[in-house]
Amino acid sequence: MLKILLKKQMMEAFRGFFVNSKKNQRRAPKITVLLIALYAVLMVVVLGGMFSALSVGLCAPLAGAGILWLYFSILAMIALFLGVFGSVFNTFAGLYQGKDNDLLLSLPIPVRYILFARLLGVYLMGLMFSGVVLLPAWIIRLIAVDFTVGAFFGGLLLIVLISLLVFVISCLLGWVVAKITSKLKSKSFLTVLIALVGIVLYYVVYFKGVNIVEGLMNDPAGIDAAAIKGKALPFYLIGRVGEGDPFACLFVTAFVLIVVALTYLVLDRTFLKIATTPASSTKKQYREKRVAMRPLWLTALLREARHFTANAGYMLNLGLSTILCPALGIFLLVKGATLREVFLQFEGVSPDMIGMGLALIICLASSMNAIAAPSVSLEGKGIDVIRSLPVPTKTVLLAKAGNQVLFTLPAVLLTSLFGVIALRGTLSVSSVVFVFVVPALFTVFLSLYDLTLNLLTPNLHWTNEIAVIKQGLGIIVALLSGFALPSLMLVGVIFLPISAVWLGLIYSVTLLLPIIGLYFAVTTWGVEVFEKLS
Amino acid sequence: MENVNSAEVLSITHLTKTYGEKKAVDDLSLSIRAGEIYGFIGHNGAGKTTTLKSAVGILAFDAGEIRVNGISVKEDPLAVKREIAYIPDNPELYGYMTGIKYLNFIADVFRVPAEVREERIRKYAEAFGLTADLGQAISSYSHGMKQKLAVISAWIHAPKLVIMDEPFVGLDPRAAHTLKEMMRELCDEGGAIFFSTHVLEVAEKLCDKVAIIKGGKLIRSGTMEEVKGDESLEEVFLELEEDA
Repeated sequence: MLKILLKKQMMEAFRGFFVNSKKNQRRAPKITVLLIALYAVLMVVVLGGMFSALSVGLCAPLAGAGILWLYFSILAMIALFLGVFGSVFNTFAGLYQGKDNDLLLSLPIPVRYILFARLLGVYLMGLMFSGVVLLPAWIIRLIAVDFTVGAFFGGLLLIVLISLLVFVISCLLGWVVAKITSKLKSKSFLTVLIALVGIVLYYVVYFKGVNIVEGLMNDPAGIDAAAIKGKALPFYLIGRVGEGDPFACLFVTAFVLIVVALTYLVLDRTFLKIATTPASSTKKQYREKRVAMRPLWLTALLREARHFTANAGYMLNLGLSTILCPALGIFLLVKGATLREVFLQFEGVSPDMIGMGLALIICLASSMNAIAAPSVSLEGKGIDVIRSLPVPTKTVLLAKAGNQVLFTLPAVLLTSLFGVIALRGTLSVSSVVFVFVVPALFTVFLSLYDLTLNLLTPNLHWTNEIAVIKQGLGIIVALLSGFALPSLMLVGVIFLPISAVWLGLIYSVTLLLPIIGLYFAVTTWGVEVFEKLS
Repeated sequence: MENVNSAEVLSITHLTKTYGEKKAVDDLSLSIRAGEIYGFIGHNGAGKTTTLKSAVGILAFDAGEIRVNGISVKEDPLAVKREIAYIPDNPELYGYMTGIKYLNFIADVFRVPAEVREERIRKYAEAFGLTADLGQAISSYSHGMKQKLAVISAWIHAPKLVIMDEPFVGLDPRAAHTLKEMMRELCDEGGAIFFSTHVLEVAEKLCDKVAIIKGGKLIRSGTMEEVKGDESLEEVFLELEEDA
């Protein structure tokens, strides 16, 4: 029974790997393996690569100073933070709000099996995020220092223990977040607000952490290990687990297992009640109000916008740039003059290069918006509603891309404006134009690109919206390529022997051509794909 | 009551639709005239929903022709969709919208002027007792409430043809009665109704014409009198099911 449930859970989460939704056919095993490998490579190379670089930088100096445990302590904390942050806002929906609750609970399946299968989903999500930090850290330690049996099993145990801690904290915080928001009106926006506070905290901790790490790397010998051990014993013990210290391994394992057992016990006792209690809502009194008739394109666009703003998970996972871009703009306004002076000190950096760099940094900041990436899949079983209406499929699809533009472009242009004000007097007229044009074109490109990815990997058969928002190859590829493209372009600014103005022209054309291509692809091939989805 | 002189609203000729190797609908032909309520009956998997979805323009079909008011579904699906309304068997409406936002969304799509939609929403929401719930999110609606909302949204642009898949499922007796009245009213005003049902008593009392489908093939169709003669529709249906 449990095996069947687990299989269902995994099939739901990773359906795109096994089933071709466009043809409604099972993929060939080779294609499935290829897709899973591609997914793994993307996670390991891109995210893992980032943390591998950090591990390489930290490992040797701390090993040299004889405090390798601190290396594992630091990376374990990063993994813990990333893991919790990555899964906390999806935990409640994933655990309690499955559309198949009634079906599963009506079947002769023990409730604890349902809970276990769903908890496994939460655990795997946490393991994925914490693993991309700790797995490279473990491998690099074994390569860079020495290979001992203790270090081998200690590192492995640390990965498991941290992923379990992530699981426990995600479950508890997810429950708290859900409880708080369930008592409030405008749940989606308040959830986003709470999450944004979390993000700000995350970055405060992150930057403080970076400062501490930089300090350690500059002077590892100056670290007072005894003081850390005395003041932060759990932090020390976690580090010692990574080193394979038997006492630390036993103690931390026992602690984590007790906490996991307690969490499971609480969830087991409360699951049925929470899952079957309808969300409390105050009944809104309907008041008749005349509304003006809207044009068709606006009607389609508003449908998408309403879907986006009604789901906190959607906004948090794929719409963060709407907040991040203006935040960057404000940062530029405050620190712009200092940054300009710092950059101009470097040899060969022209003011126009700074302008181009600014344009691409804005592109990077906007790349966390991938609203169109799950928009086709989110139609779900309700796809027949829109398909039975006299709305051209082209309008439906362009509204999906348009929705991403709607929530990204104003933020991007505002950031460009703030950036130009911050660097006033430095940039030439052509540079100023590119600070606006390049991010704007990038926004349009990314919207069409994300939509195209979803048309390539649609999944209408989900039981929870968060599954198509958070998981799937299309989403990962969308986010990673959104990040990779401006990064590559930024490398071009630094290394290509072309003036910034020419580079701006080349980049604009480079973005414009795929926009035209994707527009035609979406309005021809995409229309065919959408009309055949079932 | 057969309206032999009235205009043909829906004409399906030699419709064939296959899924892989299975023929879901096989050379099916029927026509519906203005003023007619046309019932479509058959066992589960007989091909009813496939026929209805093909008529609406949701499903592409392999052979045959479907015309609504003379317009081909294949050639101009959008023009056909402007003429009709469709209610699926299990309306998956947009849970993220409130009832009123959904109705305004549909009204916008069909270009229904503000004052007209306002009047229709008021009329039908009151008829179904749904007015007080229009401000609520659809995700909080019961199945019956969703069904009522789907009916109101279907009537909001005064369609010439309403196609419904099991429209009475989930409706309480009062709402079912209201829907029957609305169906008759629409037909009296020159519209037509094509709907599938498993409730043979309803079909027998409500329909002017009926078609029985089995294994994708139309096994009998015509006026209610032609199809059932002196027997009940249930008896005829069961006999045909055994014979065919």
